[in-house]
Amino acid sequence: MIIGIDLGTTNSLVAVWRDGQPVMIPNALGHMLTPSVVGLDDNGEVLVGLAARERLITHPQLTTSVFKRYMGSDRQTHLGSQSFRPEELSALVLKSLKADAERFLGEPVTEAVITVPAYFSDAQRKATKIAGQLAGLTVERLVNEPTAAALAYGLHQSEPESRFLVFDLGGGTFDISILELFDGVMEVRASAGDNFLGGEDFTELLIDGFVEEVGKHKGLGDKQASPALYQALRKQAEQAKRALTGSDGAAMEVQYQGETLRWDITDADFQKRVEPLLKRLREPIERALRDARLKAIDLDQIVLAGGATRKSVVRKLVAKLFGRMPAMNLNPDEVVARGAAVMAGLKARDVALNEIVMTDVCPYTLGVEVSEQVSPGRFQPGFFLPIIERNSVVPVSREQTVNTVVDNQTALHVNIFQGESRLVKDNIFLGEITIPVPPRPAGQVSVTIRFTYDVNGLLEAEMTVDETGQKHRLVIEENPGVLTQVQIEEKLAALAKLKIHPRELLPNATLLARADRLYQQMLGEERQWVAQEAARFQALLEGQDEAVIEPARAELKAFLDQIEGESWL
Amino acid sequence: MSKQECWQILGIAPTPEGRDVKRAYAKLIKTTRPEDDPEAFQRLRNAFEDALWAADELRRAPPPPEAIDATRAGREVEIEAMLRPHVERLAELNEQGTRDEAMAALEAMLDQFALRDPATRDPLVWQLFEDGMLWVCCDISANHDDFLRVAVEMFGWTQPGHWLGERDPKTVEWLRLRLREAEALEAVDQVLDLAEQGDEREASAMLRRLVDDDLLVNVDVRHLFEAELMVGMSEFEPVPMHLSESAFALFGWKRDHRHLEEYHPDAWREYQMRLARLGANW
Repeated sequence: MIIGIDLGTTNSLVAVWRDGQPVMIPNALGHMLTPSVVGLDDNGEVLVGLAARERLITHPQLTTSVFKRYMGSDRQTHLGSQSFRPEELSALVLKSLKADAERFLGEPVTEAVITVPAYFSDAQRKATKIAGQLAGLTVERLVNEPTAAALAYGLHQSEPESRFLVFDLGGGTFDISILELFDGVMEVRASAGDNFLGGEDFTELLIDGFVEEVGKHKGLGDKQASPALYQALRKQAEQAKRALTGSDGAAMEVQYQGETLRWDITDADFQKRVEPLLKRLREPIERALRDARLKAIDLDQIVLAGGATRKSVVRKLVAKLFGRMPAMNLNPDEVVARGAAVMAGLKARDVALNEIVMTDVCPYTLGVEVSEQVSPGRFQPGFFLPIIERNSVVPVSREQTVNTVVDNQTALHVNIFQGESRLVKDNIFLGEITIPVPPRPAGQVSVTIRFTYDVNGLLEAEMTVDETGQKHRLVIEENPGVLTQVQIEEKLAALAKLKIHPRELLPNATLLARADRLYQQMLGEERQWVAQEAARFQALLEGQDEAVIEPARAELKAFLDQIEGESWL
Repeated sequence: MSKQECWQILGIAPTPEGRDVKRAYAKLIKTTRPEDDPEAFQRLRNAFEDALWAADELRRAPPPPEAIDATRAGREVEIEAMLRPHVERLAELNEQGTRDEAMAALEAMLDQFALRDPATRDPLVWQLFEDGMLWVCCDISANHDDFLRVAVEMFGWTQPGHWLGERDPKTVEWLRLRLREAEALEAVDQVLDLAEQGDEREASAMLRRLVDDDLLVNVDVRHLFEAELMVGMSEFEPVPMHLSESAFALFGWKRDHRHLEEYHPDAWREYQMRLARLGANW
């Protein structure tokens, strides 16, 4: 059975294709959303999901979130004395989702379709694939998130021909895809995006606003200085963000040096603060429309995906940008995971999907660095020669021929880039290769460079020296953001040594972590109640009698809900 | 790939219908999936794109005239015949005449057929007049903005609950967009007027205000605004440098100007040339 996974910046989800439709899989807590948060508990066991998220405030040194933003880099995150790369942290989330799926399906799961932001680079895609591998999953396919959303949406379309745009604003990334649907063919016409724009940026803005408005004159300066306080603010900001969806205002409140700091934000104030973020949404939209050669009025529907599209400021803007209300019939949190499950069904050749074919595009231009003649006999390097133009339908294979520029040069150095700028310094470096060439006068040796971009969005480059017919393949190893095979083996061994907190005990751990967090946030009498209830529950746990624990758990949850309102996801 | 080869690969005869090309491609792709056989898929894909292009080329012939509906009642046919030349005249004045001529012709029509008073006008005449006006406003190549505004107001086409919105929401959406575009074009004129009067800084300031204005949030409206602004500036001699610099910065034209080039290739070339002559290098 292949599972479909939406590995998100803020939350992750898993779904499966069953009986002709996508089915969402709940985690140990019965939730569809598993927060993409990883931590170590007091015994050094790995906690993933809500339990870890609760501990962001109480144990900031042992817990981490938002690591998807560092995929494709070699950034190290320290949890206690151990350190992790972003793909290892992602692997821990994937492992947890895999366990949920195995429990739900009653069989081992070894294959998955994982979604990635359309605008993820080669290194980021490879890192995602490796994260799957580290979690014991063969990644059958990487699918672009807006494409997955479109698959989930398109499945229900009865119109013989339609065009729609997917507006996908997730926790950390923003993607736009324009699709055309006809006779069972779902064709991505264009994709564009911003890898550093998402719901998390709205949260950060609120935290900055708090520090600026009330924190500064209380000596609360750099938010990095106190991780615990920062996480407490973060939680408040998250809650305020939700409250600001369709109300008049919200408040943020934290305890700082025995004092309650409070900031009231109105909807209008929020609107003003997020203006710069909203402005950044325009460029990818314009680019995708122009690439697809369409006007907004030609679109039949606007589909929203990603939790951040719940925000009323975002919805209002979408309505204004396109002059119409977006479609509301799919849950924006789940639509990408549902699409991943559809893709898994397609991959498994499910008969119910026989008549559906999906084609995607390469959302960015891929090419090499070349030298250009700037005056007779004088060449200047640093120019970009596109080989695969952005929004070409994949799989795609294209070639370009380059010539030597120096007499008797014996080697040709090829740098590969991704991007849209004329100068390579403004594009993203992907890798390099040096190939031997026969010594000849300048310009007399030609090399054909062929790029092949596959359905998973991974690039292969092949260089042929035309005179000798000698071929060279690029193995990108210079990129520190991508683990080598040897490193993968090492990481697998390291991960195998980690103890994972038992899945069936997660509801208890989550509840206790929440109680700890509340204890830290509360003052006075309420605080004492929380401490008492938590201690009582903990004592019961030691008896290991599920018949006693279960009602006590429900009781404690009701008690905590009463104190802070129902826990949100 | 030769011109004929794409049709062979798709297994159909050359056709002007994009729909037929898509249908043939859709049938073949089910057995030539992109993930199974990348090379065969690429061949099919290239053939599909070439055929779409070729179909476009073939589709130059004018559309056939509208079939006459024989089931319609005699009186309806009679009224329609009576209104037709007047409606066609309105269309002509919108496409080729001035705004004032078109407006005057409309006023004359309202008087001639006693259409002004809802209480006394003939409902069937009014209904057929509305059909004709809808055609003038939506299906011909150009309209005067004021003419469109008056028509939309007169029939309430964009009002919530209007029959048009229920029967044809796309048309209503299109009309709404068209009205906003008209507003944007007025704004372009104002900016250009300021520049023409030699007050380029004031024109730039107005542009800066407009960029954040609600009017230009809609992507299509903004697209047209930018394109018309460029065309306007290309006609200046010398080109307004300060205003151009603002436009490039505010709309990101350096990054992406395809929409300008596509909207009016000649104007864009002229504009670029004039900018280069003055040594613009932003």
